This record gives sequence, structure tokens and C-alpha cells, in this order.
Amino acid sequence: MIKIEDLCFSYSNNKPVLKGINLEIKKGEFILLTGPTGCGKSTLLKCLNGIIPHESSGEMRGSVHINGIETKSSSMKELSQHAGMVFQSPDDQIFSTVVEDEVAFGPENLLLTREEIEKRIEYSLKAVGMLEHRNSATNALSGGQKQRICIASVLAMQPCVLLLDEPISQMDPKGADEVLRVIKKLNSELDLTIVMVEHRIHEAAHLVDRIIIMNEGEIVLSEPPKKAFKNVELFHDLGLRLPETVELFHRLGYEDVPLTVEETVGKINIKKIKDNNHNSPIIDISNAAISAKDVWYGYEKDKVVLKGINLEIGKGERVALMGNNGSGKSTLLLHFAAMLKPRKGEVKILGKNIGSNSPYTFAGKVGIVFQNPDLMLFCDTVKDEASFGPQNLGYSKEELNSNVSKALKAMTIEALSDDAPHALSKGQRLRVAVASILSTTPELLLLDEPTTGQDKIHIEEMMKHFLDSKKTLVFCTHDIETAIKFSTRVIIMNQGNIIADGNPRKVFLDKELLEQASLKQPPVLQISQELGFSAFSIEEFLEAL
Amino acid sequence: MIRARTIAEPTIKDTIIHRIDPRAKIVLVISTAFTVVALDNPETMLILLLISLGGYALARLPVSKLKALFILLLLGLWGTMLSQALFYSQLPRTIIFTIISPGAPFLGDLTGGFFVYQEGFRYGAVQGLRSAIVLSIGLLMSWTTDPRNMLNGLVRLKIPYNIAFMVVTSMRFLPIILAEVATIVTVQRLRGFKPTRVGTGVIKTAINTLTPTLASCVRRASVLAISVEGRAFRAYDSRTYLKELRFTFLDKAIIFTGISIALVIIISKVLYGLYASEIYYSSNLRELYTFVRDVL
Repeated sequence: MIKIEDLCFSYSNNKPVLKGINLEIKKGEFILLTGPTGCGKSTLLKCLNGIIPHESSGEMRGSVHINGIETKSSSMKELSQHAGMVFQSPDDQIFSTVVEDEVAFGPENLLLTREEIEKRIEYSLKAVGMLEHRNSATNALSGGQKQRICIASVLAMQPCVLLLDEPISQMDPKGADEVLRVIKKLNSELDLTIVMVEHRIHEAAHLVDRIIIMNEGEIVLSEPPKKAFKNVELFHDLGLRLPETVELFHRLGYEDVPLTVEETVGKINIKKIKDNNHNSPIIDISNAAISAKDVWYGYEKDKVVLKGINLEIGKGERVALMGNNGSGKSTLLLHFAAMLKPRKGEVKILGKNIGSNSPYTFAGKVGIVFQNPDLMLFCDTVKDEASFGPQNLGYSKEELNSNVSKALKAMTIEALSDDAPHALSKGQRLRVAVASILSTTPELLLLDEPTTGQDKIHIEEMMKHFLDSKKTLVFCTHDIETAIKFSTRVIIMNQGNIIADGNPRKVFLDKELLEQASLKQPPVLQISQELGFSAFSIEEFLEAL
Repeated sequence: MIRARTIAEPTIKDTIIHRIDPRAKIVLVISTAFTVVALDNPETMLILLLISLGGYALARLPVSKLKALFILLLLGLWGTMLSQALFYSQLPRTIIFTIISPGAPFLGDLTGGFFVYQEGFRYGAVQGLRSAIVLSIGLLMSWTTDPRNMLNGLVRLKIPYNIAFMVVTSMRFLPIILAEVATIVTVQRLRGFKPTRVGTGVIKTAINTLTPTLASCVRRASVLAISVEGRAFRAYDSRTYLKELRFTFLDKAIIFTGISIALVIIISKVLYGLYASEIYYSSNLRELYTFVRDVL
């Protein structure tokens, strides 16, 4: 179905992004294409649907054949009916306000009759399980539903290859799960060939036929999942996240690695379990950094987003705010930055009521990093970006230099200090945005989804810095493993209410509660519970044996 | 930020205003623009503004949008009236309030006096009402029309598809860009920057805001471009449509009434202009001259 021969590509005057790629993909194969940020996987995907060379400047050598057609010598019109592409952010692709209009766009461009367009809309929406939303407004859908609409709008072109560029990276676990299930269904029921670029290997590995790993423009591994996971060191070296089941079995010295919890439980052979006594740290909220009393908020009068939130966060706590998309966690975070004022109730930050203080009075004391780092970067170099805050806050030259250097080091971007922030990869841009806030040495740091698009290595380095700094940290995340490992407290929200607040080790034991918030226990916890004990990390699991 | 986006995006409902064919809406906006340029009677223009606001009541738009409209209209009207009242230069002009007397020490000598003129207020009201009517009709159209219907409407009005697509896509993404600009300025302020600082504050804010806004627009535009190219955009010179636009009696009536009123007003004003400048006079048109002078 796909044949790539000696493919090389470089963007104008830059070093090669793809270096002699040779690859064959059979009809109906489901490929997971992964690798560290900037390794060339998205560029390879663009070569598959003809964006490169037809719509992108740069030099391409070698050949790419899709379904027997060479991409270089055929038009985008022809290729669009063979390979369809879906991107990371559904909001950037959807431009219609009604679902059926979005799906109809491609068939309309192909000059199909109205009857045929109707047929294709029905076929595509049915395939992604969204037929009942045919006349819904696109902006009323959840993230997962929007992404399924994007897939349906590509399916309506009836391609034989579906290309997906990080389709679940911005989704909560429930949204990601529903999108992945739809993709797998399309693969198995329609025999659609699928190439999916994704960092979240641990969530997709059990569904795919083959994992291809790229590094520095080359394919360094191309094997079925079980074989691929025998090269655990390669995953570690490249900072790629292994499924917990694989990591666990590797540490236990097993040869055959399982990909799901069910498979794991049947294979594990435990003689004796020790009682691992991990005491919960005691939270001191007598010295509150944040205090919220009966906080109500809504962007529109009839849509209430926060419904009477009460909480206190002590100085030095690291709090993970969790819940599905739209549960109100980002809105609550904006209150903690004094950027939103409650409609009813009171929020105090570092002892000051936000109702009577502008957010700018907290500059240097409270720092917030938004989900989209691009909106936080406006200087010419990474170093200027980190210096911007301290300069405005009137820090002395010595203080400024020391803060900037510490912030760049903490985010492991010292080597990039003279680079233009907007030319960096998404993960790097996010770390620059965090460094630009860290350099102002805030007492309270607020992060909205700091793990999105990041490699495991960088997530761990970033979080370790916060662990050592002992400052108050509140972060929104869907990443349960990071929350367990690095937070002292977890707050779970659902439909504007706090449904759980406490030590992660207690909160994550409640399966029903997690389900309400579209969250799942991490695999290692599920496995250990099946075996009669509770381990929250692989280390704890091994300790207990 | 999210509020800015909510205000700017269309609210899709099933009301009589929402059901009007986009072509009828476009024609109505254009004919209204011509009509208000021809009119210069503030009372008549006020009635026209109230009629256009009546459309909002029929469209049942959310309070947040109505608030935004009210603020825009108030700022536009009051700003134009006040600036014209202060700086009106034509004669005759009647002083209704003295801010700085010509005899006042220093400032009096320097400015020659600073006054509020009655004719300036009236002239400002006419200018302000012109903008207000076009703004309210234009916003009513964009807040009550699905972008895809707007695209179809523009194409049926013989606007080339590529250009119509660009116009509609810009409208679709404008609210997102507005929300992003608000975020970018906030981010700077949260890092201790004072955008209103005398001197370089405003300029630096503009430059700082431009970079990420453009970068974000370019990224979004390139994703959208690849996405639509991948769905055979411009594959052929023409395309088919799932939804055919069909004129109802109401649509036809709106187009007929809008164009007719605009033509009648423009022709009447031209005839009155010819009479006033002593180029052409007809005794049969005396009643028309009176009507134009008193009402239009």
C-alpha cells in the first residue's frame, strides 16, 4: 500500500530532516510512528499525502508510492482520494459550524452529486459513531467528538490510507480512548491502512500492528509491539514512554511482555507480597497560599462552570487539578491567577482578595503558564524571553542573570538560549514559556497541562525541579502517572464541582470516582490490586515483591 | 478571553432572522450602507437604527452579545458626537458651552478658546448614526448566519469561491484571534510589563503582541490549508453543494424592499441636490423637495 524508497528531505537551506528512509507498509496495517520531538515523523507523514513536495518548500529526493501512485508525479486532487490526513488540534481543522457541513466539504469539492454526498456523510459519521450528531453544532462537541468529526470528514473522501498526526495529544483519557477505539475499528472493519504519529505510546501500543521509531531523520526500529518492546533501552535512551506493563515485566526479567492489564495479571507469578508502607505526607494548610470560599463562575449567565468551590491550598503543596475536558479546572486555575473574578464567593491568593486586586498586582509573586505556549513567547531569543519578566519587575542585573540562568538550566534549554523561541519544537516552546515564568521567582506557580507534547525525560526533569524548589505548585493535567509521582495532593473536578480532594494515593484507589471524571487507574495500580495489594508505581510494585 | 470568543462567534438558533437567506442579508447590508450615506436627518436615522435593533429582539441573541453591541454603539455615537461638538469648523456654529474662555490666562491665548458647538453635536450625531446603523445591521448578519451558508451565499452572488472561502474563514477565525490577542497582552502584564506606560509602552506592547499573534495565525492557517487541500479544495473549477439555497417569499420581499428603499432615497436626494444647487427644478416635485428636506 505504501512504499518509500531512499527518501531524503530538507527544508530550504537547513540540515536534512529525513535521511534515506526506506519503508513498506502493507494494506490494512496499523502503524504507530513515534520518536523524540523534532525527529522527522511529522515531516514523513506530510510526504505520504503529498503535502511534500506539492505544498511545501524544500528539497525532496527518493520516491513515495501510495496505492501504486507516485506522490511526486500526481496531483493533490488525485492524492486526496488515496491518503487523508487528520491533525493534532481539531479546532484548527474544523471551519463549519454544523457537523454534516464539515463532512460534506470534501465530497462537494469532488463534484459529487447530492445523493452521493448524503451517502458519504452517513457512511463516515456511522463509521466514527457520530451519526446522531449529524446536525449538531461543531462547537458544542467534546474534544474527542470533534476529532472524530475530523476523521469522518477525511473518511468521506474514501481514502485507502489514513494519516494521523498526534490525534489524541490534547485529549483527556476518555476522549483519547474513544478516538483510538474508532481508529482501531476503522482499521479492522474497513481494512483501512493507518499511520499514526503519537507520543502517547502507552495508550496506543496494544492496538497497533507495528511500531516504527524515528530518531534524527532515520528509522531506528520497525517491529511489531511485542518485539519492539524488547528494545527497552532504546525507548529509555530516546525518552519515549513505555507502557507500564512493559516496563514492569522488563524489570521483573520476563522475556514476553504483555500490552494490557488483563494479559499481565495472568502471566505474573508472585510468591510473597510484602506490605509496602508508604505513608501519605501530612498537608499543612494553616498557612494557605490559596483560599477559595463558595466560588461560582460562568462565562455566560446560563452556563455555570464553577459551582460553589471551597478549598484551601497550603504553601509548598503541589496540587494536581484533574478531570475531563470542560470540568472547570482551567477556569479554576485562572481564578488562582486572579485573571477571573468569581461571580459569587471569594478567592484569596497569598492573603490578598482577588476581588479587590488586579491580576497584575501579583506579577512576580504568581506565575501562570498557559496550555498554548505560543501565546507566551514574543521575544527574539530564548534568553530574552526569560529576561523579560525580571527586567520589568526591576530586578538587579546580578539577580536577573542568576534567575535567567537558573530558569534555563531547570528547563534544560541552556543550549537554546540564543535560538528564536518560535522556531523550536512544541515541547521546547513549552519549556521556554515555563522558564520565562520561573525567572520571575514566583511564590505560586500555575501550569495548565504542562505535560502535553512533552517527552517523558523532559516531563520528569521539569517536575523534579518543582519538587526540589519547594514552592507552591498547582497544575492541570490528564496524566495520572505524573500526578501520582509528583503531586502531594490531587483535586478531581467534574461538571464544576470538586468530587475528590486529597492524597493521590487515596483518591486513585476509588475506581468509581475516577470513572465519573473520565479517568482510569494507572496500569500498575490495576495489576497490583488484582494481585491483592496497592502499588502506585513500578518501583513500589517491585518493592512489594 | 473565552468571553471575547463567545461574543464574536455566531449564535445559531431557529428564528425568523436566522432563517433569512444569506444572500438577502448581504443585499440588505449593502443597500443599508448606501441608504445611510444618502441620509442626513438624525431623527430618521435614529428610527432606522431602532428598526435594525428590532432585528436583535427577533433573533433572540444572548445578553453578552447585546451588551457588546450596546457598548460599541454607545462608544461610537458618543465619541463621534463629542469630537464633532468640540472640533466643528463649519459656519454658522452656535456655542452652547465654553470650556476655555479666550480671555483665560495662557490657555485662552494658546487655544483661542475651546467651545462646544450645537451644530457639531448634530453633525456628529449624523456621522455616528451612519456607523451605528451599518455596524448593527452588519453584526446582526454575522451573528445570525452560519459561515457555511454565508460561503454559499457569497458564491451565489458570483463572488469567486476562493475569495468567498477566504472571507468566511477569516470571519470564522477572527474570534479566536481576538481571544488570543487578549491572552498575549495579559501574559505580558503578568510578567510585570505595563502596556500603558508613557513612551514606549504602547509601541512595545504592539510589537510584542504582533509576533505571537502572527506566529499563531501562520500555524493555524497552514494546518487549515493542508487540511482543506487534503479534502480536494480547488480540485475543480466548480463544486457541488449539499445544501441548495432557496429564496422564500420573505427573502424576496427583503431584497425588493431593501433595494427599492435605497434607490428611492438616493434618487430623491439627487433630485433635491439638483434643486438646491439650482441645476434642475420641477414644480411637480415640490412635495418631494419638502419631504427630502424635512425627513431625509
